[in-house]
Amino acid sequence: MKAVLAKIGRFLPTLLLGLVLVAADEADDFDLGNLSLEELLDIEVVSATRSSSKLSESPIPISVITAKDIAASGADSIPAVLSRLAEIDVLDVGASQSEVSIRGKNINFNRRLLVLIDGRPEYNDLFGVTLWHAFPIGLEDIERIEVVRGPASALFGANAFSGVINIITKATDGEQPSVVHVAGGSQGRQDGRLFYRRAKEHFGFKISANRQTVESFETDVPFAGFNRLPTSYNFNPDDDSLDMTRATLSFFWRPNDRLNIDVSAGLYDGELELFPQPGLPREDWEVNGDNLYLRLNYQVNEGGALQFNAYLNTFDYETPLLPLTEDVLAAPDGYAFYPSLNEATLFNGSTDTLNMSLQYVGSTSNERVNYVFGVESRNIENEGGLVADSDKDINSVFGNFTYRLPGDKWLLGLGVRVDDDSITDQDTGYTASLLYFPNKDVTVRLSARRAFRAPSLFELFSQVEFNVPNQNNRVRFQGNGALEVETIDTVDFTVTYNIGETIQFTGELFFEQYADLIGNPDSGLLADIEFDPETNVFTTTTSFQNLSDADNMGVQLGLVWVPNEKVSLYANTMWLDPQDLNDLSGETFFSPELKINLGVTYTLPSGFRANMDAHYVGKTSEDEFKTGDLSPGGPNFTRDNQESYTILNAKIGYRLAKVKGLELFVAGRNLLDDDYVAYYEFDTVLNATGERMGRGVEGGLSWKF
Amino acid sequence: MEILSRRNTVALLTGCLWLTGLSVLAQAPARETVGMPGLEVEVIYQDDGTGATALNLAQDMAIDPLTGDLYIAQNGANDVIMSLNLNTMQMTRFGFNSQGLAFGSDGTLYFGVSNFILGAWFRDSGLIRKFAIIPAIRGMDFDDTGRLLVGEGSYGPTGLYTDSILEVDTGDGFFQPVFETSAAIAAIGSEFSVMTSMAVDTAGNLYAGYNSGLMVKKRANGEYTQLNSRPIRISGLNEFGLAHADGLVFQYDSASGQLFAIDENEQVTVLAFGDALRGAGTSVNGLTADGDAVYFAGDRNQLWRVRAADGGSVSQVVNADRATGTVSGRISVLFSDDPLADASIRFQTGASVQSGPDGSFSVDLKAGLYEVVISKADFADALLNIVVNAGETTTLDYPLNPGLPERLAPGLSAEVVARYPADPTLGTSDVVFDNEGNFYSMNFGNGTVSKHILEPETREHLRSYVFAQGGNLGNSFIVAVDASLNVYASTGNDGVLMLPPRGDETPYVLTSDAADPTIVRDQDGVNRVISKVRDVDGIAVRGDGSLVFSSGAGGAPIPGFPDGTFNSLVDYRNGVETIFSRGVPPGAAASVFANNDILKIDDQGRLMVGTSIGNVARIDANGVVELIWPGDGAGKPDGAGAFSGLNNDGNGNLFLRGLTGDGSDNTLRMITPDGNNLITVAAGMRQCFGGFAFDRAGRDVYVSEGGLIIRIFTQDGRTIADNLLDPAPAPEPVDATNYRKMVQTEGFLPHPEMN
Repeated sequence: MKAVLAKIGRFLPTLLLGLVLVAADEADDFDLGNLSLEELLDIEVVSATRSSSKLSESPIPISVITAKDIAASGADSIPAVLSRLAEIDVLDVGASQSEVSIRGKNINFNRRLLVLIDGRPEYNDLFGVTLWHAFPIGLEDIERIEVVRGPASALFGANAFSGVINIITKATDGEQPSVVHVAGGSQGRQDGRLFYRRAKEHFGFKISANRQTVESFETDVPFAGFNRLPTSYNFNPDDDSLDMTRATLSFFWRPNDRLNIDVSAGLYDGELELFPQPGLPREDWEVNGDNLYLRLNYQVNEGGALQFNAYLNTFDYETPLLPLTEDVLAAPDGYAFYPSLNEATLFNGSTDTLNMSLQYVGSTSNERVNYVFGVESRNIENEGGLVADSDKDINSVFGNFTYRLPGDKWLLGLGVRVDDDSITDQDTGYTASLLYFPNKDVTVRLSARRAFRAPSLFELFSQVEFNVPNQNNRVRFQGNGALEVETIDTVDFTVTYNIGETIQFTGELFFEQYADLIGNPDSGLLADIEFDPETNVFTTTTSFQNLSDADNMGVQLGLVWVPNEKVSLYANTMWLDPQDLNDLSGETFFSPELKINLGVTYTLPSGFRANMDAHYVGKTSEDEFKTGDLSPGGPNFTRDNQESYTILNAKIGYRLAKVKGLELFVAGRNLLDDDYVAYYEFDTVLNATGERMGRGVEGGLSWKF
Repeated sequence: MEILSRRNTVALLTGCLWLTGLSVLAQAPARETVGMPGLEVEVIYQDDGTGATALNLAQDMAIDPLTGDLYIAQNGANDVIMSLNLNTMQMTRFGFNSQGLAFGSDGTLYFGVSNFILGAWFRDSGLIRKFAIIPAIRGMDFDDTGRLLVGEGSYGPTGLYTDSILEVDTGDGFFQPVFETSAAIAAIGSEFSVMTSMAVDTAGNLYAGYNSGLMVKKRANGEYTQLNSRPIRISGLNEFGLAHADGLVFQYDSASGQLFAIDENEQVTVLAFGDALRGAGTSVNGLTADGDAVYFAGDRNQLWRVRAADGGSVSQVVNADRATGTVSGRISVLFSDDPLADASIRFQTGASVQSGPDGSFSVDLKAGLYEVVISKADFADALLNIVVNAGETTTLDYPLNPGLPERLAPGLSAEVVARYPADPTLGTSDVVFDNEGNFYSMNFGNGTVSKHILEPETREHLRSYVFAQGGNLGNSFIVAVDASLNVYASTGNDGVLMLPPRGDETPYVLTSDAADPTIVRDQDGVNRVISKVRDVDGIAVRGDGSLVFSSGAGGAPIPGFPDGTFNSLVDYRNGVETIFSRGVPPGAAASVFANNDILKIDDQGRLMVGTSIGNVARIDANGVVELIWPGDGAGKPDGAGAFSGLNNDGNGNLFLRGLTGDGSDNTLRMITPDGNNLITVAAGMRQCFGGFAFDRAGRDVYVSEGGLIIRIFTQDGRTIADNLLDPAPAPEPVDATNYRKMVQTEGFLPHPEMN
């Protein structure tokens, strides 16, 4: 497989150019304008009910980013696209590692967010994380991104904890054009993307392919901590941080009016540079994943359809995880505390997830009542690597309905799902919501939800040991098979107000309560340390535990102004007030107290289009970092070092009049060069992780045809 | 548990008992503890050393600034930190192995966790966790600015900065060295290592103690200097404790039984001394101080306190003006009445005086306690404590020892026959006479065999020369000679050499074959190895010229002995080797040989062999084995000591050399003719092992004693055995001497095979 992918990567530019030349004649023009407010409200989303529904009638809070937003933004990754939303927190840990969370509580290797592509999880069932730079699609394949603000286990089961990000790709038979995108820039950035599709009446296909390389910033930033080590120290500094090939090939077949069959196969293959945890050096990870996805939709009658989905996700990885002890000992002074392995070792493992679901989607009472119910079954198996051979099964039943009361002033929504997990037994999520439409411009929604996150296989069955040179120390990661699910209970109150035909205001107040959060307890307690006087080595054991309860209250305000087709603006902000998130969990959560996003897109008749967005990310309240330090009364590394930062991004595009659909662009990211380290650990031994992310520039062309 | 309020020490020195002279065998009686005028020295707590909260081997102490409780770091059989409430004298267990203690001003307790890490007890949160990975902690202290300083030694796990004082950030646990032994060595110019204690004073000067007894001060300006280093050791070590309070650095030297205070001008004051302050088996101790008192404890299950008698501070007493007194006396040579001129009499304050031609001296000193070092080249330093009272004269008459045993049986005397480096006797381990009246010594210190020529009639030592060198003789401990003056020794553990007499005094220069250590050639290319029997640490020459080799636990299969020769006596006749004995007495199932070592033969042809466990066996000409002295002394008045040296005086008397059963002394003793008792010839020797040989029909015995060969002889012309069995009258005790003598074990040399 790797050889095939390597060949694809090598010939990708030629392939892209060939396709461009072949397809150019058939290219449609491309509307560079913005969606009107009405179009926005009429967007059909699928993440609210597991079936299609209007965004304006969603029983749970949902935000949407459209393909046009993405095209205009100049962003080169999905996390960068998402950062325009107030509820989204993005931690740029490294060039190939981003962490995304909803409503704060972000963390290195965030395990509390469910990410889907067309309903198929990209949530990594082994580690519980999302490898954002290892998705099998390119940005051009994205029709829209639906962001469920807050928990959604009633719909999607475990892990839809802080929210759901459902990436909806473009329809195989859609009207938007194919795209070739070629770009290069700072940090050795190379990005080639192709989106191509063709369809006849009953059959069609599309391909989304992409190859991207980015180098690390390699900025040495020493910190006043136990290790006094730069966060970016790298024992393999010549490697690209990100080197990834991605592709998905999709087919549809509609043999008759009742039956739709969609089949896709996707893959990603390449190298990521990941920071396993603060205090550990980044290390190369060879990752590749394949997926096979089948979707059947059978229209039983006018009022209902039977839907069958099945997918197989495979995730393979290979990593040395840590440098060799001899390399650590040879490193300059100050790096000598890095954990390491005595012998060259490659941890390689494979995780397969087989999932099948059958649901019935129907409506009745003149579509006042819409409902979905079904069953789902998932099997996850792991072999080798950092986690002991293990597996788990989850069988689920779920149901969801909405009822629009006569008079169209009120809408009720209810949903429930029960998972029977072979590890954590039965877990339940629910949604209850009430929407009020006093007039055509105002929507008021009150919802209550409960969700849960099941511990990942890594948390349950990890088995890693390494030593710390010069410290006579062995560190053991040991899974805990007795972990219970984490739960979240949320209440949201949302008001949406359309001011005229061009402005939409959204205000939201929410309260979240977390129970049994899983974290790493303090492994430094003397009572828990194993001392071996024979070998003069002591061993600390990190074993995940259900540790803490916490809560979080927030207010989100958003404004979208689309004065005309050429101009759109957005402004939003989020204020968060977490309590006790960092008290007992053993992990450090980041929940910026204040966040402000501003953006504008302006299309000129001359063919220029400009986009500018700015993001201010504040610090987490210092009150959140009061205990758990080495010295409870003393300094706290996170509290003392975390940074607020402002990122200003801009893109200018120019459409060449002589070549239809061709746009040249230059994009700048973090133009103010407000470099920052996104993530700090409370523990001064571990102190911080990641790179200082400085200014980046990229330029290239994008050809729609 | 007994709580003591008894003050067993006087504040002012009057009416103290003093040690009697040195020229008798009686050991010095235990001395009362003496405190500096104005100080109270008392035991405030003691127990029997058993139980979960017993006072055991203290390693450091600290006083809780919030409660006033005294915390004691212990490591040994009872690995706990204990909190001692000084008001109620209640001991409670804290619960972790510990070495090194220090309280931060906020009440956070930092402590070494066994040999592994620096731990901390955070008072408010109750967390007890690792704080920094600093292994082998040997003391810690806060300075007046709140810096935490931790001494890291080099026992146990290897850390980043061994033998250093580290400044530890109490916020994040980061540490970095502020005192490095390598820099101290470079500045001072001598080699030392293994830091065992540390302190910091108000001015930021750092003090490091080393297990050799050395103390190095790093002044705040970065200069290193040596200060009040300690020459007395227990088991070869002096791991004195250090602490600081109120402008004074305190140093508890439990090897010598002294407590010192050192002020910021580096003036050293003796606060207390006494045998009760000496460690029983180790010099490790714990020490701390606040402005009012000094607390310390060694390994005797006693907690001591020193404080001002008038309720003031210790520093007020130390710094008080005191009138002077006089110290005068006469220095002489041990076992003679000869005056010793030009001997140095030096005091811990730096004051010193030299003895005049008649050995006399006199010096005025401020009233107080003093440590005195009397020294002269070729004599062993004497370390004494004296008390100087204001307006009074303290008499100090002292016989300095040129290297002889500290004590001899009545009627005996001793002298140095040969002394390294004037004579080639570095590290002598065996002596043997030839039939011409000269003797050979094995000098394993530099791997030579020396021959020593004596005047035939007067037995005066005329000269010595190297007879053989090289050939891995450095690992040989024994030498033997036959009637033809062939000299035998082992070559490492790999065989036995025979060196025929040479026509002149040109030494053999031996070289081991690089590929085969059982081949050792002389400078003429002749292989001098006659046997490949391994681990031979005893060779006996029979009257018929045949040899017997004592092959110890290091024996191994060699040609002809597929089962090995270990723990056996091997007969060697005309190049033919056979097992003569494996040490099993008649009727016994087990051998009494256990890494058998020294081997001698008596006039009856009986072989006598010593072993690593102290067994002494006799094997007659027929190979019948008899255990004549068990190593553990079972059924006898005392054990003979491991690797006992032995020989007979030619008159049927067997002498043993070794440790006393309790390991407290090195002796040469005779087994009484009935075989049931031991009579001491000499005690207080440097070595507990090594060969000795008799001359003049048992009137003299020549003893290997490190760099010396000494002769012990009778004063009345009788044999040594006769003197022991019919002792001469004991001499009159030397005049009462106003000093306390510290037991000098600096030159103690254990047997090389001892652990």
